[in-house]
Amino acid sequence: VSPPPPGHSPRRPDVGRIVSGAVLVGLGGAVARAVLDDSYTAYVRPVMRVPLALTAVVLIVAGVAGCLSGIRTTPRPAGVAPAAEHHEHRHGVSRAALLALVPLAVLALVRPPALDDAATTRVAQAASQPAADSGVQVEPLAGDPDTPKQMSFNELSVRANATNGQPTLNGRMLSLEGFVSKDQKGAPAGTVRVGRYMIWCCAADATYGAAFVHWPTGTAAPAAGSWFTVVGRVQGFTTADFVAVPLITAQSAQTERPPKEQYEY
Amino acid sequence: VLRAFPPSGWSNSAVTRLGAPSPYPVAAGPADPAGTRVALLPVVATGAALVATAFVVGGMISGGLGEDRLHQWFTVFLALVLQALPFLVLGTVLAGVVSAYLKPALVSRLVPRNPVAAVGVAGLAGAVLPGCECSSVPLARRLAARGVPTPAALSFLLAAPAVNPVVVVATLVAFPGRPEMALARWLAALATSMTVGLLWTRWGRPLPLPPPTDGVRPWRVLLHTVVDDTSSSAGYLAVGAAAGATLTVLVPRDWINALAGLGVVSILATATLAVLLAVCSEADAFLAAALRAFSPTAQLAFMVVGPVVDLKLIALQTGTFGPAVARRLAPMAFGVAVLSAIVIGAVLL
Repeated sequence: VSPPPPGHSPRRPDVGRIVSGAVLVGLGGAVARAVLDDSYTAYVRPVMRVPLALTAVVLIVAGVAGCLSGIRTTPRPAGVAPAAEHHEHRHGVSRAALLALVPLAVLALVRPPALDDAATTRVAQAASQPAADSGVQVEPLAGDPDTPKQMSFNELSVRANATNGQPTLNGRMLSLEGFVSKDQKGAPAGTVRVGRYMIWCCAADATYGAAFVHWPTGTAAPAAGSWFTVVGRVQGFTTADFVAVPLITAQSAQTERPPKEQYEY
Repeated sequence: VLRAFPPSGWSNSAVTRLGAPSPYPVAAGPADPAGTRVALLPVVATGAALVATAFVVGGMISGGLGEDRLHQWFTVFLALVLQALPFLVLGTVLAGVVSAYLKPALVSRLVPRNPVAAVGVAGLAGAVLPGCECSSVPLARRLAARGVPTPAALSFLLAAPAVNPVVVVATLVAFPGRPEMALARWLAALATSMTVGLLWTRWGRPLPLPPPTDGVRPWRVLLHTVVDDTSSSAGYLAVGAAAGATLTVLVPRDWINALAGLGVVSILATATLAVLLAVCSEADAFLAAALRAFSPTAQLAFMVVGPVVDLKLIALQTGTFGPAVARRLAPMAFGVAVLSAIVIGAVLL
């Protein structure tokens, strides 16, 4: 924690700073790996790529330099009072730095995946979801209603709950990319809950948008967690957990790999 | 959350070791080098207690902690850490530059002697640091060590994350066609930081200062400050992120929207939400705009409270400044921020 007291005894390694430096090198390495293999998109927005890369560089450089400086301590310069010299804490290991091993371990060993749909009890989830008839006004949708329009689940959810939103969706052909929910709570008989998270800042504020889809016959079974591009027509709305959710009759449901960036932004 | 924090009965050792709290130390005095370490145990204890409580309560509510929840916890925990880490590193690098190259003589020329004027100047100076709340905690401590009076350093600490141009632009983008939200936020944040700074001149405690660095070569001071501040702040951040992840994953969701229509209660609800979610000030305007069920003043309260008090900030401040400072600063900042939001919201929104 503390910066160096004025001067060090010659030839006495500063263990605390060596440990702190090593923690920084480890943390920087773990961040660098998350940036290089794109796994950071499970936690924060893609726009954080460059800041995280710079962070990794600073952590590694400062950590290595800190280790070296801790190993090669310099003699105390002349004219400095030896006031702090006898404090034993001086070369103690900073326990706060050891706490930083927790995110390092999670990042290096656990590597948790992007949020799945089991997170429906989360605070941000409820708070940022529009209450039904929330007073929000939306613009009409341009274009031919029979041409499938690509739409995010977030926009779908906002429109479904805006004061003037449901008429803009009713009867529209939409193309939606999302995953099949593990939790099918509230889904009317014969429908499948499909949705996706949107994040504003990071996974801590993820909002889940969903639709209930009448699955087309003769296509791949909607296994929980699998990703699909669903093309279908909005045919009404139902209310689940105080939120209006669109009912969609799918014409096709194309199974696919999970996208590299699993959240909407 | 705030009232329970910190538990009563904590020792005041970080402050009593520093000697008389008044007058504020002007330059880096012969502070106890162990002073900053004293703060650690309470941080760990608070973090552990918060996490444990939340797990127990959350477990009772949700019927146990399944494997899904554990994965979510890890994901949200890393999300909070990774979103804050770049800003934290920016802050410690600036803190290192301040420690190494900002001469106390220059500080005494730039910072007015009058404490009220000093608080005002420091609050406005926050407008030029394009960081968020994690950057300013280590920076404020190093500024204080170079002779900036504590109330001014805290005013800077509270203003910088909320009044800088990046946050203003983000707020304008998040509320298209409603520039009054950005103006209201800017004014309320500035009012909050200056009011807390002024209150601190009367009821505050001095910040525990790092030991002096006289006679050490500047590049070495820079390096050591970056290494020491980054490693310890990352540790405190981990505690705050763990508490935030626990509450985010386990707290049931229905309470927040249920409070949307209830006037002042709805304002306290969004303010509390800002404390729990611990979202970066660079991005919180978007989340505030998404609180569609809430009044503009409640949305404003979310944006004014978030940059001055949240779980990760409480952990960072307790670790960096010691519990005696943090347990005054967090409730004071929360109360002043809510009042500023209510007053400015009533006038402008």
